[in-house]
Amino acid sequence: MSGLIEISGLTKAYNKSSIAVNNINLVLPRGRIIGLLGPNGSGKTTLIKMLNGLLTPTQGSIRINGQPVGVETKARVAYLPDRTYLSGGRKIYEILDYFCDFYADFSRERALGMLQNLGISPQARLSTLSKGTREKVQLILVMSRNADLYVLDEPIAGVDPAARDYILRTIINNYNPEATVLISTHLIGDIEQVLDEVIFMRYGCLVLYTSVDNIREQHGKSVDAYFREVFAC
Amino acid sequence: MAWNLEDGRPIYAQLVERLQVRIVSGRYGPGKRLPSVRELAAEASVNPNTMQKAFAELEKSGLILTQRTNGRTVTEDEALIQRSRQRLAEGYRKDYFAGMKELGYSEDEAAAMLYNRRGGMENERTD
Amino acid sequence: MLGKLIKHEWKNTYKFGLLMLGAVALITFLGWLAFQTPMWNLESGRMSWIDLLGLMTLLMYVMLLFAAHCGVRIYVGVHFYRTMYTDEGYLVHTLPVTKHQILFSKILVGSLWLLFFCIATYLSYFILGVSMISAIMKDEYSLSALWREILPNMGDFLRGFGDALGLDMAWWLVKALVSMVVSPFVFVVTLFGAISLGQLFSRYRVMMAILIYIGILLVNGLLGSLFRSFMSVDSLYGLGGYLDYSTYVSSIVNLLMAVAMYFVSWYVTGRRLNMQ
Repeated sequence: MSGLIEISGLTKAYNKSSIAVNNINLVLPRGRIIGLLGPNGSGKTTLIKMLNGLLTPTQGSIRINGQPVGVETKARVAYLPDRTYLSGGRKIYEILDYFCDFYADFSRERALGMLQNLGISPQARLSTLSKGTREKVQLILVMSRNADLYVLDEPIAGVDPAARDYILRTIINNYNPEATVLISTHLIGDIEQVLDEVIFMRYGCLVLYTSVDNIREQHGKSVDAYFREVFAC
Repeated sequence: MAWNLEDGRPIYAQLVERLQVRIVSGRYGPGKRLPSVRELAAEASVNPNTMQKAFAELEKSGLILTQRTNGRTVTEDEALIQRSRQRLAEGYRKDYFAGMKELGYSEDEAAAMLYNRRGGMENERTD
Repeated sequence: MLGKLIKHEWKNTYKFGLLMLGAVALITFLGWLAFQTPMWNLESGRMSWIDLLGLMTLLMYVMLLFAAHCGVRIYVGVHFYRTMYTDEGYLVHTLPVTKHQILFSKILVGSLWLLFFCIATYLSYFILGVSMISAIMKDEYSLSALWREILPNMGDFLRGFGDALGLDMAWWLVKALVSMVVSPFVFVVTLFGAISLGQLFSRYRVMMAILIYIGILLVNGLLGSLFRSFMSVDSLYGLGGYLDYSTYVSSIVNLLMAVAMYFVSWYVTGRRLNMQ
């Protein structure tokens, strides 16, 4: 069987002088937790947006489950953007209804369970919650789906250590050999042990795609330390 | 970060060691069922695939057995567990001497100091 | 999926919609209040402060209704922009639905609110007209008596009016009704198209959308007068004929532009989406 995600010749140029993603070729298998790593502005978010159909590639193609990005892939991809996409006036249970309506793979029970674990009331109006709590709500919505691909854009940036541990535990507990989790972050040390594989990006190019233990075995250092070395100024 | 792993070495190798310690120390007794990969991965806060890899390594060494009906169990071969225990002990011993060497002690001095701990206390008394 | 989209779009907008309908009711009440002042009693002859207040209220009625009208139209546009092309668009565009479904649900719900608002406005005019007539009517005349007098002669009146203008009045009324229902859709689709076109620019997307919308209005006007000029005068008969033909032309131009703008929106959201 071929990969879950097949990316070939993918390029995104915002204009002639700024190329955010430059000719990326990549095949990602199922059943992995993969870190998408790179300094700010390396093209991580641009790549992720193209996977979710929020940006149109300038060149190249993306296939998820063998299909181009579209209605079918969106039904199977759970995406956590790097921003709040929920309007503040809505209550949490209304948002659960929304997700139930549109995503056949959404489990309301799982979402309610996670909300309870974090002590968030489903009756709460989103605008009354703190920024951190709103981020947790979005993560819960994403992780309550039974998707083939989870794409998490900077899920642990700006959350407290307890929440970060909860997020990582949620990702581990949700692990499913048929699904892949792609996590973009620049805080590598925090999530290194959770990852199978890492993708390094720089200036929109793919620098490296290998397993965490490969890096540790070959270089005798953590991915975090190796990353600092590779991207040292 | 429940298992507090080291930075410089492959994660799965460290997981293998931790599991070996749990087996030889009797925490997972001979013939007993092991927790699932998922449970242990969550406990250790590591990737389930990496935990799976560590399990595979232990299976290869014979310390754990996969049974179709009963999940994974620790071997009942006590001699094997003993050998594993000795190997771990040997590793600790090497680490000790390597550490002492770095501090500038010769192997004899380092060996003497292991006993000196009690001796030192005796000295204090005789003084 | 389309039904669900429409349902949630409705849920998201009904509060504002009801608020605006309530505003029309309130404004109408203010207008009605204006006609309850003695100013309209023509025999009194002199203006007093309460008359002035009445006049002011009437002026307010016109202005408020106009403002509410602008408010509704702006809201429909802003709501579309916010849910499609700001952070909230990250949710909408990652739903497993087609772009046609998204656009259709937004156009339908936005246009329906505008239509309801227009109907409410016409009702308001009607109520105000009635209260005006009853205010200036002689005391011995009642509204129902007037109504009884007008109703049986309505057909003759319309026919006479139509003959004077050279129009078939019944046919004209049907067309007016159709145009009343269709024009909110035309407005909404055109507006959405302009907003979507603005997204093709890498910066100042909102400003470009506004400029594009103004541009579309100009082009529509230009095309309309162009087509009108093709029509030689001899084929027209009477003022009514000209008016009829002229509204015909601009309706068709607007309609064609709206259809074109729908496909523009579809193209932008489907093929050229670039969320910032």
